[in-house]
Amino acid sequence: MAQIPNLDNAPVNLTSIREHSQKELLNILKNVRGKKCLVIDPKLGDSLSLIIQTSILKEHGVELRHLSGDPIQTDCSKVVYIVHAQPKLMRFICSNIHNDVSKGLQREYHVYFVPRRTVVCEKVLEEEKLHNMVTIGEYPLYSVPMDEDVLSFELDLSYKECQVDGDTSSLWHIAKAIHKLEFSFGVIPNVRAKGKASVRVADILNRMQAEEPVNSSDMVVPEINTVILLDREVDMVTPLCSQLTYEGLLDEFLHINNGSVELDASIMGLQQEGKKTKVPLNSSDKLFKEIRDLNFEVVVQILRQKATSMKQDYTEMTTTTQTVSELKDFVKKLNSLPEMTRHINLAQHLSTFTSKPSFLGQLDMEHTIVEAQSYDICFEYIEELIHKQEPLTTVLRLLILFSITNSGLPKKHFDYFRRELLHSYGFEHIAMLNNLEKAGLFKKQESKSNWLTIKRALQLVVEDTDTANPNDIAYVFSGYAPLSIRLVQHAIRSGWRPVEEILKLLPGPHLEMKRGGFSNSPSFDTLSGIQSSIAKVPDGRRAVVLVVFVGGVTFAEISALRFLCTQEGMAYDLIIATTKIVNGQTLVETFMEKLG
Amino acid sequence: MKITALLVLKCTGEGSDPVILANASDVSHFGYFQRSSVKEFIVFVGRTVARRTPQGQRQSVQHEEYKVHTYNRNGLCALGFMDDHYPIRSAFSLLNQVIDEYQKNFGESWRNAQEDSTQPWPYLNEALAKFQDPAEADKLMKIQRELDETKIILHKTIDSVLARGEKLDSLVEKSSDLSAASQMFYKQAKKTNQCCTIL
Repeated sequence: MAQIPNLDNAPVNLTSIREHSQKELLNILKNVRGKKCLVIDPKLGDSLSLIIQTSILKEHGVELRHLSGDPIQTDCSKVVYIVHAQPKLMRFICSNIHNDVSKGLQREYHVYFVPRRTVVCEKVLEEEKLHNMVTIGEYPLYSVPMDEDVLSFELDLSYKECQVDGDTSSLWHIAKAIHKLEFSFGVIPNVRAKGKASVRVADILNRMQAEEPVNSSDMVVPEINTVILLDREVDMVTPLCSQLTYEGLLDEFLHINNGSVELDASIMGLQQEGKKTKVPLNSSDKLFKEIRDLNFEVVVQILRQKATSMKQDYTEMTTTTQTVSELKDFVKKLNSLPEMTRHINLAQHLSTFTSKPSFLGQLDMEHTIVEAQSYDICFEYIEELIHKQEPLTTVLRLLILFSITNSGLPKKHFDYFRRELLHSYGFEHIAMLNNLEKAGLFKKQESKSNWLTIKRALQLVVEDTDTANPNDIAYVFSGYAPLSIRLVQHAIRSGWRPVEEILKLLPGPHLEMKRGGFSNSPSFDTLSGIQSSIAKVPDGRRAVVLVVFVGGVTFAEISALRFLCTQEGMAYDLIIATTKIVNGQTLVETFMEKLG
Repeated sequence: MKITALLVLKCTGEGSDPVILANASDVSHFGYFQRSSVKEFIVFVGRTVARRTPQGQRQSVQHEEYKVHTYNRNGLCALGFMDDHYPIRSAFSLLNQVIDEYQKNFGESWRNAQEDSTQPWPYLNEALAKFQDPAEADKLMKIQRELDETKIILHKTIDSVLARGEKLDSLVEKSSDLSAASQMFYKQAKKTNQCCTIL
């Protein structure tokens, strides 16, 4: 299991959030006396590993198993299931229980739903005539701290559910998570939202406050001054571009999962053939904290510099007489050797991907598409990728990017690409193409594109980006400034009003309002005269802005937000909350149906 | 327990008299008119005893109510006049430090000395005063020994962690490979883009 991240330096007390989740979990386990078998769905297991260590579970007499259709292998007579509330998982549980019954095993069963029980799941139990054999409860895990400044709601499919399936239940979950934060840190007075789902979340949040109010008089000053909600739909350009930060590249190529990557041990310099090793990646690793948000070009230079410097110190130490304190200083430096080794190995492995002509070509094409130059060149490049049968997700990323920046493709080209895709990759992908069209990601052109206007107004393409000493968030893509984070910059600095004309060109409504002692009714109109006051919390820390991404956020966007926090004159600390940390590949994959 | 005098001498060991390099004494407890005679006596006895102490040797010689301790290290000889009650171990610890300090201050220049030095060495006077208490010598010796041992342990630790530098060599090599593989992502993309535009 991954290492639990250190939250001591978080802008607000996220440790208490995690401890509360730990306590609730342990209470569930204590309520079942004696030895018990804890069965969790694998995806939830990853989230729990960020909340509690396996060793603590064992102290509470717990055997751990992953949920599957296979029978449970345990001697325990008590079984506790903790699962996301999904019908598919219910069928696994039913299969387990039926198998036990057929073997004459007498067991006590408990099912805890994350984050809450649903009628459809209980219906499955009833239909299988198992409802009376099972004790049902809830484990209200709404958010998981991923790092000092990142919370995840762990809603993997939220974007597709909203855009394609019309299922907006995840919005309730998001609002609930924010509401729980308000119980800890006070009612958030300022709300800015952009996008259909985000405006809905703001609305639900208001209703929650009306139904179950956080008493704002209990707190002197709310710790979170503003919440900014953004739909992924508002900016699909950014996640489709290749991230160029160190952490972003690790996710693109090695797939960071809940704060760690899993690799062949040999890549990390370990002599264990065929074995996998898990490498934790969070702020507890000081070197990683230093380099994670930097452009990969710069990371490479820094790692080389550190290795060379350590080598020089060692050489000097063995050739001249050193005092004890000098030797001690060097030994202290040696403490960073494991971290250096780890990241040099990882970076070396990454560079095998980043130095490929195909990667550089893709990068070039992304920039060409974003700059809205040379439609024909883009068309031909994508066409060639399809004919070469390059990996489907690679092709789709560029194709969707192409479609979005042109507000769809002319019917002739749209039909052509659909046909070519099905010919090259198989007819079974027609469901995926339908999903993409429904979500507006790959569609026929029906109106003139606004992309050029948006690009210029928000200065999304920045020439001569200095990646080593950046003065703009564009360094995370070596020249393209993420649209989503540009919106956050404006929202923080002066609210929505100055960019209202541009906001209207982006998908979905926008909203700006004050809460607490002020108007409680949400409005699609901008409230006039709102000034974002800079509130200082009593102990001199900067006020906190919570930035919520509905539908996912990329590591490069997180890096851009962290960059903003380091800039002179920045009045706020930022906390990021998201349904899931995503990249172009994982986002596209959610639209692929698994037929059969 | 008392130290009356400390001397540093050069011993050639070829039958000639040792050369006085440094000299410090405390003769305040003698009568005023006897002090110069006592100093001459100290020098005479010191030179005699030094001449009879081979290199690498430590020696303690009883002379009337005094004990003369001497340590000859590679021709550099430290000598102390103490009373009977001054601990021998502390005495030799002190002499050892005097030699160390002399070499630290003057290097190897003493080898060229041909005549007795008349230049006072302040350290010797300070040591004479300080080490009237024998515990001081022990304390410093102990600390020095511990530091030496610590240094050895630290060296061993560092060498084993770094596999005698091989690990660092490997890291430097890998990170240099990285540098070669590093790409200027944007600028290269820009150039290619411009070429395409021209086409």
